[in-house]
Amino acid sequence: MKEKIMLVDLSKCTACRSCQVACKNWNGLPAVPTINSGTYQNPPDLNAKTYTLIRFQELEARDGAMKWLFRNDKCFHCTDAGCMKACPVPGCITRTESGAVVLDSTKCIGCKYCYHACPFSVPQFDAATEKMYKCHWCHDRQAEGRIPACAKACPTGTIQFGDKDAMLALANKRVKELGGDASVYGDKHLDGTHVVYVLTEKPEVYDNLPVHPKISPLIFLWKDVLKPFSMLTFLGGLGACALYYLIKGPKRPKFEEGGEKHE
Amino acid sequence: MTNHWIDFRNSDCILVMGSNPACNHPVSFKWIQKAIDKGGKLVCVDPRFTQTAAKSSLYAPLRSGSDIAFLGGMIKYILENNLYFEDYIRQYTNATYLVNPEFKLPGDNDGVFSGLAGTKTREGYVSGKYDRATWSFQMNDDGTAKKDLTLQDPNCAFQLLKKHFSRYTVEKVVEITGTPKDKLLAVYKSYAATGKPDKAGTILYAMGWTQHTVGVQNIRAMSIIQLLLGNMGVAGGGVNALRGEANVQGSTDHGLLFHILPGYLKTPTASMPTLADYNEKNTPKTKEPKSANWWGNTPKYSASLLRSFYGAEVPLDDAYSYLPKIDDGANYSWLTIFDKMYKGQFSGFFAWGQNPACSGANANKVRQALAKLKWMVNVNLFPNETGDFWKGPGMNPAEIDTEVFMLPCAASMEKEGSISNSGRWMQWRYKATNAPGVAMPDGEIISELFHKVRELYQKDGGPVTDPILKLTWDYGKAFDPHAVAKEINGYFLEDKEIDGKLYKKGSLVPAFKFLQADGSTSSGCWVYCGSYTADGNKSAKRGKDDPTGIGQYSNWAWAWPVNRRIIYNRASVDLSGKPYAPDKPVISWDGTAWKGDVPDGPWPPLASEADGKLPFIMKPDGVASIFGPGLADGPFPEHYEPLECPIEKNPMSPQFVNPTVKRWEKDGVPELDKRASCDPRYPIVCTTYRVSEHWQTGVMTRWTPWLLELQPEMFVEMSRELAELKGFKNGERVMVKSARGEVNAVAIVTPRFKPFTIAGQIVHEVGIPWHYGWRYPNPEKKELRSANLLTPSIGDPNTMIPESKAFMVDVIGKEVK
Amino acid sequence: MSSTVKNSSYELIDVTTPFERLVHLAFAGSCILLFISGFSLMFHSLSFITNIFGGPYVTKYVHNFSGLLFAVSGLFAVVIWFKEGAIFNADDIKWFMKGGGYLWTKEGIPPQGRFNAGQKMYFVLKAATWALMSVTGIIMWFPYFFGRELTIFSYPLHALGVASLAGAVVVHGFLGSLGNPGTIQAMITGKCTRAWAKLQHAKWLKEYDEKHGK
Repeated sequence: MKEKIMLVDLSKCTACRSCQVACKNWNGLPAVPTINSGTYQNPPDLNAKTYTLIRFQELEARDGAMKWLFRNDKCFHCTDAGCMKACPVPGCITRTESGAVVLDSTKCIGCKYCYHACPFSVPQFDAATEKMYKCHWCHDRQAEGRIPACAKACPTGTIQFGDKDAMLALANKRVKELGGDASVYGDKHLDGTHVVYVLTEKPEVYDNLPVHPKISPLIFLWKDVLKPFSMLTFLGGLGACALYYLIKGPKRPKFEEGGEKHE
Repeated sequence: MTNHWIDFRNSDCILVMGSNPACNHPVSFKWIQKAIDKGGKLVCVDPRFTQTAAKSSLYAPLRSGSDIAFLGGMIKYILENNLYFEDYIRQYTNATYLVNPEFKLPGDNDGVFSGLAGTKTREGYVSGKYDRATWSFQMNDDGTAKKDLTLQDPNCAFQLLKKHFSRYTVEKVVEITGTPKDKLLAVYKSYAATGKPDKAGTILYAMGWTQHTVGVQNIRAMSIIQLLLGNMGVAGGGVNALRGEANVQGSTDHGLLFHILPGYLKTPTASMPTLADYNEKNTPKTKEPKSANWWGNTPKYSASLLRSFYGAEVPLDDAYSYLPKIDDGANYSWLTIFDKMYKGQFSGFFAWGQNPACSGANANKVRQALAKLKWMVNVNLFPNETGDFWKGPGMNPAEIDTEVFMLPCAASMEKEGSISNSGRWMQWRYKATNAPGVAMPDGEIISELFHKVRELYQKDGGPVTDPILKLTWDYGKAFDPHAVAKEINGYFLEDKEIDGKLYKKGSLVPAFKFLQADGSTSSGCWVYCGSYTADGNKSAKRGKDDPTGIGQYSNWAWAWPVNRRIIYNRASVDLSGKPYAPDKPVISWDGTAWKGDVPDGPWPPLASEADGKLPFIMKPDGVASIFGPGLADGPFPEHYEPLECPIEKNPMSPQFVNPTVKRWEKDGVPELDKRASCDPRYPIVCTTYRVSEHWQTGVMTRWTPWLLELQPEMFVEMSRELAELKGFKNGERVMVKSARGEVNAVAIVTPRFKPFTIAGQIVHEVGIPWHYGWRYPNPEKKELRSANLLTPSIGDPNTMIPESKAFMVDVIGKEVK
Repeated sequence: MSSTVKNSSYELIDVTTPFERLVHLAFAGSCILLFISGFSLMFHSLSFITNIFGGPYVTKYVHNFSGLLFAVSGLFAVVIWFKEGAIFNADDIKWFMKGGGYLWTKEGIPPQGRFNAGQKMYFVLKAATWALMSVTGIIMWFPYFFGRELTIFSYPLHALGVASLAGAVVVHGFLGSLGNPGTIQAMITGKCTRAWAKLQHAKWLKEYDEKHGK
């Protein structure tokens, strides 16, 4: 399967929430209890039973011009995926050929490393099962030659899914058409995310969207420096002791003659 | 719709007013987006900055109930800047017609048209009725109307239009609507640019325009604009109602409203005792030589309908005598029904696929009316506020004698049949799954009921024996939707030769032009004739080809009439049949035949002397109405304030409210039909609307967990300024009160609502969705959550549709009682 | 209490109290469990080791609860051995200059207290990493409660602790057993031979004899 990209063109989103419902439908996820807290956004955030969410943001310019931004939030399926880097269980977070970063919740041990390692705080913990959950890019649908449920359901063409080069070309074309502050977001981050936005505003305008998403250098320090180093010191210690024992031998105390031995 | 959903993509300027398609018709936005991608403009005018506004290039706010002022100003702008399509209005409208010199405009007549009889009060006329004698045209001896082709005569419709709307200056419009002047003019400029022959503008509207005391005149105002700009009959143009229910178009087509029979034939009245009387009264006549006057075929359709009801053996006159007749001038619509029900005039009531306890304006009155019934049958998928009204808030079951029967029915995917969308497309649907438990499709329920009623009549007789026993009912013991669809299409009841071709008895009629007045044909709904023929069930077709290139998709499903996708399309070409917009032609004449859509009348172009016909074939004179004498409240739209409004005087004239509306606070139930206008207790304008996630009163959607999760609760949207004034925080629980009731809601404080300046004073507006009710979730709490508990029972004088979009409220903190 | 022959090099003398042995068992035992479980979760290639405990899900629990034991027992360890383990003097410097007698020379090593300089070094290192691992460990256990900043710093700091300690623990274990026969008994039976004490901790032996009137 070729590498794919999901292009989310925010200029076309009308916040109908078909994507949210289609995702729950396909994955058999239940609704969670919610209240109206003064916004259309519900549930208020991603959670273990909500893999994708439309975020609403009202914006008033100084000249009074009103904007209401709608953003489809989900896992970005990064090439350099922080979650995959941090996960301690082999085979729990894997990548498919198309670029999906799949978190196999059955293998998850609930350590929650992935949550902070993710630049977008995407994976969500379920206290009842003690596991993390997130969008898996409908890799099961992709295996059958279908597109992810959210893309299938989206009525306005906001969410499109296709071969990487074609989608990127489309994204750049759309940004040119829109002009103004429009930009492509994701293709240059984290070695390229597989969910790519066409933003209509500058990235810094959007709530909860890091302008330069990256895996924290502390994670890099942890996994790429200190982790191998600790193996080095461990083996070093072992080696030093082995070497010492072979060369110098044990340091035995001297037992003197002349003392009475117990019989 | 005169056009259809996909056709939106052909528009150069889409005006969204009185609707919110991005939110409530989300799939349609695909086509709107395509128009934008091709360079079209999306212009949104709404009291609130909506999802549609968020996608528009231009948004203008306006106070609920001031649309005619807004549109009137646009008419003035178009006329004084010469942006109208002159050839079009001269050829295809009655702009040239000379009006009776006795006719008076509101500007010269205390805000009303000539001929009004009513009671004069401080607020102007109330309970008025027009004698429309002066709303007539000057006639030639040959029976045709006198016309001035130069459009200069001060009595011609065009000049009267100009004079009438000369009062709608920008300053006056701003004073009434509260729209900032620059935004107002920007909208006018954008939309009026579609007056060029090759440009098309379309209007997408819904309840935001219709649910007013001036609802019909709102639509009239836009129709006049569309005619001035030459936007009727063209691709990307038209007057397009976004219907709020998947099959409401079908329901009106098939005559579910009291005043019409299937196919928009008029319901017979007591003063038409015979079929001949009926045909005489209801068949328009014309002397205009170029008018097709298609309603002149009424006797063919009435006869075919009667045959469909009573079969070939019952004489037509007998069949006609079996039809119920309504009293002349009486109104049997929704508001009247519940008023009479409250007054104890109904024993029983079928609440069939509806939830009046939540959907009826002034819902307290509706709920109390239900308590007066002896019995009620509630046919619905889920228990609801109507069927369970007797245990609702404020109800004491011990005092209520209504016996309620719940008949669970199938949902749309659990039965086979067709629905007709806003674009008049009849689309067949198959059954995907069985209904649960004992739920049955509506057709089967009706079928069983009818068979039982007939059985009882055979045994015991009753008051209408023949009308019941002589009804044909050939749909099988178990209801067969195909049999019904064929019946709707119609049959030849005897061998008939037409134009040299023989049509055999029992064969399906291919098109309504073959229907006969002599009783040799039947048709359950003449506009659907041609939908199910010897070629099969056309509504089930799923062809994806579109050789027209303008998104007609004529092989996908079937549109009435005769699969014509854009009606009045003869207005899209000039007199010789050449399209005004060559890059998006609807029809074009190639010398011998029409290419493209089904032409709205097969006749050659008008330039062809003898045979050409005018495009507006459903109007007696073949032309569209600039001057429209057929409505109850005026031949031109005039701005009147809503029944409940925030200001003391109508800035436009001394006539405060539409003089012809029925004033229920006098004739209804005074303690329930309260009105509070310019009342300091209710200083805030309130409007109602929908959300994407819920539908109608939420009887299905509140029971769907994924949807309830998205929009769990009743809310009220208000401006930051109002919230600060009242001390409300975002997310706080408040109460909205009107003169008629109160509801609990969560406050959504938002910059998308802004205060208006109306006639010099600050006016706040709030908005509420109407999807919620006490029955679910949390029925035990019996919370007041239905928007219609607040709305007034006043209706448009033409349709009696309630004014749910503009009334007065106050918003208070929950603790204050 | 002594056994066998008094004053002979074989005489067994008490070097640790039962409480000290208990604390060390808890501290060292939990430390070993932490290392095994920790390494099995730290390195994908060592993930098979989690099978000892019954899979990675159980291993995380073993690690977390061993960590609790580590934190508590470590507190006792630091408290009871602080005086002997954290205070350095001139002899300790000399000890280092002589490589502790382990490396380039065996002669001239100044007599050591119960903790020689190397052991003191180990104590300090162990105390520091105990604090570091306990705090970062608790933060890593409840990443939502402690928030992004604290947690994301804890991850590399926790690994730093591992890096600091991994080699040191191996050396401590080696020197406490194979490297210095007679040592491990100190932490099992609580006794050591006079000969061992004379070789390893002569200064402490002197103080011991003085205390027991010798």
